[in-house]
Amino acid sequence: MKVIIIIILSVEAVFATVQDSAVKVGSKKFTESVILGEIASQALSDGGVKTVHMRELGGTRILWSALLKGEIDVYPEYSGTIREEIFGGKLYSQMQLIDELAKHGISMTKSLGFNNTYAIGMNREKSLELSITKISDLANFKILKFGFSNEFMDRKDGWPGLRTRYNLPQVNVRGLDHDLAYRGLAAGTIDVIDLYATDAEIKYYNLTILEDDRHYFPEYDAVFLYRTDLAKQKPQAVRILVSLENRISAAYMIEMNAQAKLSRIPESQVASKALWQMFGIRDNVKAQSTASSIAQRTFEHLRLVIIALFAAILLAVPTGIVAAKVKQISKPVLGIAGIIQTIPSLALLVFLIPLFGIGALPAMIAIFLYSLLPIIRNTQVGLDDVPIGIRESAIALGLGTLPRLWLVELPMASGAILAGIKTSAVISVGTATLGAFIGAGGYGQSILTGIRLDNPGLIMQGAIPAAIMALGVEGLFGLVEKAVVPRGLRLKTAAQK
Amino acid sequence: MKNSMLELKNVTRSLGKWNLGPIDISFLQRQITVLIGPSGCGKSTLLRLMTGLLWPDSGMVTFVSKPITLETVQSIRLKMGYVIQDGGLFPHLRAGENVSIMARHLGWDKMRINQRLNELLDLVKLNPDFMGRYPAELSGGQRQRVSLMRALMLDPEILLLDEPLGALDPMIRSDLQHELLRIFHDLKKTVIMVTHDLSEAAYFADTIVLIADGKIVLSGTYGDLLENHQDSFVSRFINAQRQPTETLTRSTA
Repeated sequence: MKVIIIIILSVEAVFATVQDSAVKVGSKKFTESVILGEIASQALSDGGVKTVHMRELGGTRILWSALLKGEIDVYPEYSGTIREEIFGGKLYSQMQLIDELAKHGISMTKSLGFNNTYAIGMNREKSLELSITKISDLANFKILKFGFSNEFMDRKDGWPGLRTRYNLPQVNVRGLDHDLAYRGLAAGTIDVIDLYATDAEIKYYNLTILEDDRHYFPEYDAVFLYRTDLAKQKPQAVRILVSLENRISAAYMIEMNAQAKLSRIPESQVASKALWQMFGIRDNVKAQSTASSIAQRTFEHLRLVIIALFAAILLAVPTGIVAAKVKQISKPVLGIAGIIQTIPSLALLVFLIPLFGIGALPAMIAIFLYSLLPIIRNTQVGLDDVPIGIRESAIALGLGTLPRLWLVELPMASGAILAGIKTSAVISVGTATLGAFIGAGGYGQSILTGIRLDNPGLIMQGAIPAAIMALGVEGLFGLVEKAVVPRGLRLKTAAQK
Repeated sequence: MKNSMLELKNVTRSLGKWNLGPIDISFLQRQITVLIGPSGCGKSTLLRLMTGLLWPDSGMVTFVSKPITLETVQSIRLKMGYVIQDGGLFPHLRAGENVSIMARHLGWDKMRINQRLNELLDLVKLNPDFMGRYPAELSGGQRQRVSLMRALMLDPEILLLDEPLGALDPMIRSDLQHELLRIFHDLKKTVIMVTHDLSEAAYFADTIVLIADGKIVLSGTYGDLLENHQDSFVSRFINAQRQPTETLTRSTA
């Protein structure tokens, strides 16, 4: 047992130190951000800087707070987003913006060469039919259905401000996933969507971009934000980031987005091809084979589940024992564990980010918390179910409290305790897929990327192994049960049948 | 003059709706005492008070003149053997492991344990092969023999038996009654046994203690019991246990 603990801890420690000494590049969970993150991390690696790319971490707020905390060192951002979303829409000049960032210990590169402003788009046919060319024209068509990405719906520079600026009367406004919005538009269930100027789909779906005739949307120049202390610790890294300034045109970005989203070329390959074209950097990024990608995801997934479950067992079994012995605390303990269990997993992950940041740790903590209740409850019930005659016989023999627990009660409760651990393990395999939302990797990463790229194959690459792992856990526990639960107890259940 | 092995002095205990005691009784060395009475009269409770599974609200239980308290109870339990109705064997341990659990816990060496096991196997006339079986693989009678072995493993000074034959079918029960009496006589130990069966009590007892509603109604030999027929409870209790053949002859007469 001890050996297992030591092995897990040392694997964890090695992993942590590798990540610590590397420059951590983050990206948001949309394709362009992933490509830019990939370009940065490949350029850094090629320049001899050890780099880790933590892909698809979430939206602006998660990335910005991760950057402030030093959980990531670099991520691609847009100047308009910094002004409006991060600093609350005060009209900062470029100099003021840089000063404001410096107060937070953050620096910014110059524009990477394109302005990916927000834009409002609709079907070309529909826009011709209604003669809509400008956003202000929308005010005349109250019946039009708007479908905006969730972030746009509540961003200060998003829908609320747009509605005020243009006096838009529409009431049928829905928030939905950006990638789904394109399909909704094609299917005719919505008429107007928000989009990014460099979206590959503009061409693909034959859309009209409506003119921002009241100049509502600010400039969204793509930049890299990085921690100022990076310049001291790894000046080479900053030099490389700066070298990417003004190298990517809007047309080139659209082309890269199209490759990733429409031709389904992995972002890492799109990025390495771009670096080759821009700098002549040799393409030394091997496309990861499906098998090695699944193997990596399996490792990440197992790591999340095993460490979290192990910690849960260490806490929950003793807690269950105490709850069985001290009736007064049984209710509060089960109550607290029960309340934790009812928190939706995504919500729990979001709660954990401010406390533990992003990555594997908060995911493990979430899995750990969800694993507590079944183990505590089954331990308590297993001990309570030891027949009174048996318990009193052990007392009358003269066994003290601890020997009684160890020699009689725990072996008799072993089946129930193991069943609780099995339940937790199977739940954990499922919960761990959500870890990808906060950069913990695992099968959820494939599922998340698959949804973003509308690639069912990729989704299956995550979903099928996750299902197999859950079944494997079930099977494994069948074997463990045979090894751990005393034969005499299994005989009894056979006799009772 | 025989010395007292176990004594209850002015013991009371409340059990929710009803109360036990006050009870004063002394159990003499090497005597077989049977506690008898209708179910729910408090006879098992009395036995549990003697083992410290329950504690009196007032009064005192002493073992060889030493009061049983939280401090002394653990060491006193090692000198008591306790057997309950269904044996109370630990289902996850083999019969032999059940018998030797305390000896192993106390650090006896293997030779001493095996030697003691063999003595006990001879005493209860059980095939050594059964020691490797789990309780679920034994018959009711075999389980009670193993349970008795476990109670006797540390060679206790007193045996407390709570309806030890209560769960057995009549033929096995009758066989085991003979066996048990022989064992008691071989051991020459102090025995306190609880039963609700008058003929069983008569068969075993040097002294019968009749209990009703938490109080001792009568204490004496079987003969004393029969002579007290004028007491309405005693007569009702005796009549309730008439032999079936008797009932049959009377109803056909």
